[in-house]
Parts: sequence; structure tokens; C-alpha cells
Amino acid sequence: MTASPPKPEAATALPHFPALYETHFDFLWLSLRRLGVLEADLDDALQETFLVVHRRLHTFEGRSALKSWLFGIALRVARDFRRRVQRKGNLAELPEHLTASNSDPQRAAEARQSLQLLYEYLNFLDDEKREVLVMVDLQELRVTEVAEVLGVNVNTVYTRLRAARQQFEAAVQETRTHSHGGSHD
Amino acid sequence: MTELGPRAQSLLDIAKQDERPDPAARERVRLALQAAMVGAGVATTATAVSGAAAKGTLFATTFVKVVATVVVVGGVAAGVGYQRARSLSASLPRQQIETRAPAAETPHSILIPESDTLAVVPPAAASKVSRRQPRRAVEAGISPLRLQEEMQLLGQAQATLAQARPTQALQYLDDYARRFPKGTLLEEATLVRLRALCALGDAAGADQVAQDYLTRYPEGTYRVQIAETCVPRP
Repeated sequence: MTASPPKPEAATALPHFPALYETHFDFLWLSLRRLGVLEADLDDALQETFLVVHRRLHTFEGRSALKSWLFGIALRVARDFRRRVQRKGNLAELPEHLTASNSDPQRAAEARQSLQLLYEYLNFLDDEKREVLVMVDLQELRVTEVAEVLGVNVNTVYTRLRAARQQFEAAVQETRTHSHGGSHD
Repeated sequence: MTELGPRAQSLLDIAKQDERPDPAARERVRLALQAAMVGAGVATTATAVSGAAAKGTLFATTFVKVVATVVVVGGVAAGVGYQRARSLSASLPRQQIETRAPAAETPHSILIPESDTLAVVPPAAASKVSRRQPRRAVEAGISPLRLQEEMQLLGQAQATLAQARPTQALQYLDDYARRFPKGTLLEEATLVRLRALCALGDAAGADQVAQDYLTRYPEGTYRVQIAETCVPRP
């Protein structure tokens, strides 16, 4: 009995662009924003990302998860946009959208404040650490996926993630210390 | 692995639970992608309207024909379309309003999934802009891929014309005529050709094109525009 060779997964499961747009829009929007693309540039960055996705969709081989493949494209677009901003000397901005998905005004206000703090702290991190922290702790990619997206080994991802968390935690603690110190003065 | 403290972890958790994209962004980017498909990236108000009309049938093939009609009728030539596009700059991504010739890789096919067929006619879009064009394409059984290629060439012609390069626009139109002698967008191509000839100051050539159109399409969609475009009539 001869077994027929398995068909490549991608050959039968190539994503359909319109469906992909609908299902992954939020993921890419949040990815770009959290990677440091300014609110004012988000639409342009998204457009660029989806154009690249469309152009390269036929090359998606299914060897990686679609989500991490998309993130890899968003990551490169985000880097490009960050470089443009740095060249222009634009200051980091605080997020304006922060659309909390709840109808309780008080909780929404708290969420908004928390998100503003989060973006402040993320801005403390250098690009390498920010990217890893965003990928693992916010966008919930697996470490192996992050390694593949970044083209580094898993140990490097762990090292960067450890450093990113330490730096992030330090920023949070420092702010708490300042705010507590101020209130007791 | 370093663990985060409760406050830091809480910030991340709140972001994962509560952070959502700007609700209008999905539609804005959708329209920008659709406009990019037109070729020049020239977004007219009408393009946006037709895009909104096509909402719910995103990227349906019929939209291509609707956009073609709208862009041609909407006056891309002579910079009119560009001016309209600029007025949209506050609400649409910047890349959309840059008037430029599309690169070879401009993803027109974004709007034409291969699995779609022209039988998918969004009634809202069709009635809002042009009932005639989609039906004509459906009846003719035009393949989405061919229509996509037609759109690409016509979009290039419009883009170059909007950039005040009518000679190059005519080259694209000649290419279109060679490749699609019975093209679905032949009427639209004729109108663009007429405008290109007008831009070149070729009144005789424009008059000939207009006469040919009116003879060939006595009930044509653009007979009014054709008759009124730059050609001095006795």
C-alpha cells in the first residue's frame, strides 16, 4: 500500500484577503499602535501593512501561524514609521483613542488612565525590548513565534523579554514612588 | 523568567481587555485600500460614497465597475479629482490622496477576490451610482481577472492625466484599446481619451473621438459629458 505524499497545508488553506482583513484588522491595529506608531499615522500604517499583506499573501506557506506572519509585516511597517517620526523629531504622544469596551463610565475612565500609563511606560523601552514585550505580553505570541518573526533564537527572545519586563516594572515602580512621595510631602 | 508586579501586570491586562481600535478606522482604511485599487490613488468624494454604498460586500467585483464609472465621470482630469481628494485629507489616510502613477504591483486585485463573480451585485452600490454598468458586465460574463486588468490600465491612464501627462495617458489608452478592443470599460476609456486629447489641445482629434462615441453609443452613459467636453460645437 502506498501512501500519497501529504499536501502542503498552505495549498489548501491560503487565506482569503477580504476575510483576513475583517478578522485581523483589530489585531494589526493594536499591534501597530503598541509598537509605537503614532495615532496620527495609524491609518497610513495600516494601509501600508494590508497592501504588503495582499502582495505577499501568495507566499504565505503556512509554516508559521498566520498571526505571527501578519505581525512580522506589521513590525517592519511600524519600524519604518517610527524611523520617520524620529527623523522629523516628533515627540511621543499619548494615545487618544483608548476606546474601552465597557459602558460603565467610571470603569472606562479608569481604563483610559491605565492605558495612558501603559503607553508612557512602553515609551521608556528601547525598540528591541518594546517589540518583545508587546509581542509576548500584549499580543500573546508564543516565544517560538517571536523568535521566528525577529529572526533570532529563542534564548535571545527570553533575554530581551526578561530585560523588557525589568525595565517596564522599574518604570511602574518609579512612578508609584514619585506619586506616593508627592502625596506624603 | 522575570515576573511583573501586580500593578504592571494589571496595566497589561487592562490593555488586553479594554483597548479597542478606533471604530471608524476599519472603514477609513477599507476606503483607502479601495481607492488605492483605482490606480492613481485619487480619491474622489464619489469614490468614498460608492465605497460606503458597497459596505457589507467589501471587495465585491461590482465595486470595481462602480468605481470606474464614478472616477471617470467625477472628473479626474484637469486636476478636478485631485482637488476633491485633497478635501478629503482630513478623513482619509494620506497615501490615498497622493496622485501618482501606480507601481506595477499596485494591488488592484484587492478588490477582486478570485472566487468572487460579477453575479455578486450590491444593489445599494449599483443603484446609487450606476445601474447600467454592473448589469452590462454581468450579462457579458466578464471575468474578474480581466476586469481587474482593464481597471489597472484605465487607472494608470487617469493617474497620468491627473498629473498633467496626457501623452503618457494616451499611451496607456492605446495599450488598453489594443488589449481590450471589446473591453467592459471601453466607454470610460473613450471619455478619458477625449479628456487627454483636450489637455493636449488636439481639438480635431477630440472632436473625432466624440463623434465616434456618439455614433457608436447613441444612448451611451457619457454622451452628455462627451458632448460637453472641450470640443467646440457649431
